[in-house]
Amino acid sequence: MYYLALTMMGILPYYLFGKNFKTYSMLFLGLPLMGLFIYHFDDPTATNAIYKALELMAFITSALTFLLSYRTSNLIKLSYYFVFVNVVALFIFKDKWMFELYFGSLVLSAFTLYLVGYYMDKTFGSANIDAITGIVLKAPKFALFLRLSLMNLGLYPPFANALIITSNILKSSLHLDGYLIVVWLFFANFFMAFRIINSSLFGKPNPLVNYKDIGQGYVFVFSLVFSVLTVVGFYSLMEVLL
Amino acid sequence: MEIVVSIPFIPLVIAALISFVDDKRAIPRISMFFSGLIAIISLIGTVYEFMFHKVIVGFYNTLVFDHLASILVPYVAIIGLVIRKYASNYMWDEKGYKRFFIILNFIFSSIYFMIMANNLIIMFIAWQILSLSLYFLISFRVESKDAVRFGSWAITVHRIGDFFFLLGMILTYKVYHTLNLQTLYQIWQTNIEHSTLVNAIALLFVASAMAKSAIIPFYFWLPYTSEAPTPVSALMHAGIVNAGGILLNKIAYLYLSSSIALNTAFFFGILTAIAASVVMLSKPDIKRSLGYSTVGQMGYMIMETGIGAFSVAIYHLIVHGIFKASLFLESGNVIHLARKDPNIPKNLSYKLFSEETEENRKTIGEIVAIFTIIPIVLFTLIEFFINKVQFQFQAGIIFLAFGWLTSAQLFLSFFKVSKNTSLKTILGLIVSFVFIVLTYEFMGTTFEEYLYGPKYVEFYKAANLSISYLLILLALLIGVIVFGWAIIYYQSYKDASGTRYEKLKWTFYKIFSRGFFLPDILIRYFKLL
Repeated sequence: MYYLALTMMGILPYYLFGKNFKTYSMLFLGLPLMGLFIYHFDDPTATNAIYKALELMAFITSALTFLLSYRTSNLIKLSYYFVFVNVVALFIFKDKWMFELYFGSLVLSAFTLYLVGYYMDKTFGSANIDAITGIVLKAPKFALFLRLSLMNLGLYPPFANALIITSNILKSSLHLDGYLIVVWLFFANFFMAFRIINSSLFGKPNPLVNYKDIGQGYVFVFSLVFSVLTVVGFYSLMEVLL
Repeated sequence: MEIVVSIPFIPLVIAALISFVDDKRAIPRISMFFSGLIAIISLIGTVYEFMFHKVIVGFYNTLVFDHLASILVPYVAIIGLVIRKYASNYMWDEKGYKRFFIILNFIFSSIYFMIMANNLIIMFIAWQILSLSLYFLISFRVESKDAVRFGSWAITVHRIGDFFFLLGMILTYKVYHTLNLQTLYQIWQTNIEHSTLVNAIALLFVASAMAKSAIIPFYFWLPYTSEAPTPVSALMHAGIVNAGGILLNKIAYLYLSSSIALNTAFFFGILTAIAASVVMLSKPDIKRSLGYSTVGQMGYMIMETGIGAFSVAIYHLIVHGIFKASLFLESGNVIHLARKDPNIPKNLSYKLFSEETEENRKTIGEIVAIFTIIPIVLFTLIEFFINKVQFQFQAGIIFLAFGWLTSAQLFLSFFKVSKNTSLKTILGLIVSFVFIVLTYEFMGTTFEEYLYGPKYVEFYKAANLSISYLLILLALLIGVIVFGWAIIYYQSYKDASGTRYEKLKWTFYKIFSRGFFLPDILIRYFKLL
């Protein structure tokens, strides 16, 4: 039930605070996600057929989310989409602890992106990645944290998401479908993350936007989160190295 | 001596220090001071390695300063020093001076980690951070749409390469139950098995190296990175694209068990070398032309590993790196001078290579002497100096072909060829051929002994190409030459305008000058990022 709560924590704000948003499509994506969590870890009687069906559902959920992500430019929405795209990662984790670590770090990473989107919305007047461009030139500190957040979500080391997945693949024996999931995660996360970098971080600054760099409070929160993610990443790396 | 293995962390320290500095003038000072320190430490390590032949291990056995590192680390450190010095002035007026130096130091750190890694997972992390830092530097001028687009191409190709590396690493772990390179070296040397899984591992690492070194079919990202600032171009052409060769050398012993992987590297290497050289000649844009030249050189480097000459590839990447870095840094200077001078700036390179000199007529006696004495001296020298082991496994033939191609390319790039100076051209070609073959042979053999000891013969044996394979290649090459000459002859003596030969020629020109249309397709349809 812990996983259900975790998912609900992720989904509820999305419904409560999201603007101009396709509720039904997200319901379609969210419900199988919850089912997956319940079945996979809480129901030991789940048969192989159910397991396979759930795996397929998760894959469809993930693929649909990926496609949906290309239809939006809202960074807050995209932070949620990252969680849904990674739902399929559930099936490559055989170790409960590693899974908890991965999803914990994923939610934390998505939270950093959400925070970035929230800041953009509050300060620049929009969280639209096509409208707020050239951040790297106008707000370098803010750009640094956005860059780090997307590096982590795009599965690049030395942050936790990439290193947990890598050490998990090395330690557990995967079947062919497991490897297909790895391929999917490796590229889907990458394309989503780098689309945001290209659109928002780079480009000519928008003359209509009043850019303002982040203050000490945000710097402290971001630094703390990324320190935690780096430590978790190295922890999972050590499990393979030593 | 364990301080030597801390080299990869020093650029990270530089990056951290720079990020806290507000005074712009302090940035290059910090960078230069610490990179000088790296160069000194690496040279001390190299001297120690030369004298005692002892591998220095540190950081829980994850980093190592071995024979390969003792050659490459000082090379990267010195190149790094020059590039940082150059960049400190060149980048002064650019937006994001601090950002540039921070990313630059991340690149150097990942290169050092890659060279000194004693574990495949450390190498994999460095491999990915290198891709990422490269992307940030190519897209450094963030306001330029082209810079961002070509940066996206680079990172996408590198991501594919990263994925091959990941798969190769997973399979290595499944087969050998370790990722420690020292342990793997022992296994690979003692347990030579030609299984499908081992071949798959070897092929995956070759594919990963191909993506990083811009080999066909992954070549297209490199020529389009000229949007990056000049010091980045210099670094990219001198260091980053060589990562493929470094990877293959780091895991060279694996290839004792996989002739298929070596033959694949040879095939794609030679294909890239020839195709990129032709495209280079047909490119009107000088920067793209230089880019394709590097692609061709990377083709040679991968081809050399494919024939088992791993150490020659190391020598090649060092020489090519120094040459290309000087070329790019010099080109930056020339552009700078050209802004002040209405004519072409007559710097040293211009006086040496481009300035027209008076015609120097040769007598019949001199001509006869050139065409008889020089070939005899040439073949005697080659017979005397070239390693017999290479000829035993057909590597020598390819090696000579490489020497000929490279010297011709080098010579034709530098000198104006005209009817009046045709003898000078021929003489120059022969001299540069002898020079290239002899230096490569001498340095390659020295490196072979130093890096792999008597084991190096095994690599040639593993890569042994069948003579029929070589004959087919030779026939193909002769066919292409005859075809080319026939077209030139036809054009010179008959009026070919409007004929289908003329159309054919322009079709070929179009195909080559557009880089086989792949970049056009990508610009039109590739919009994922």
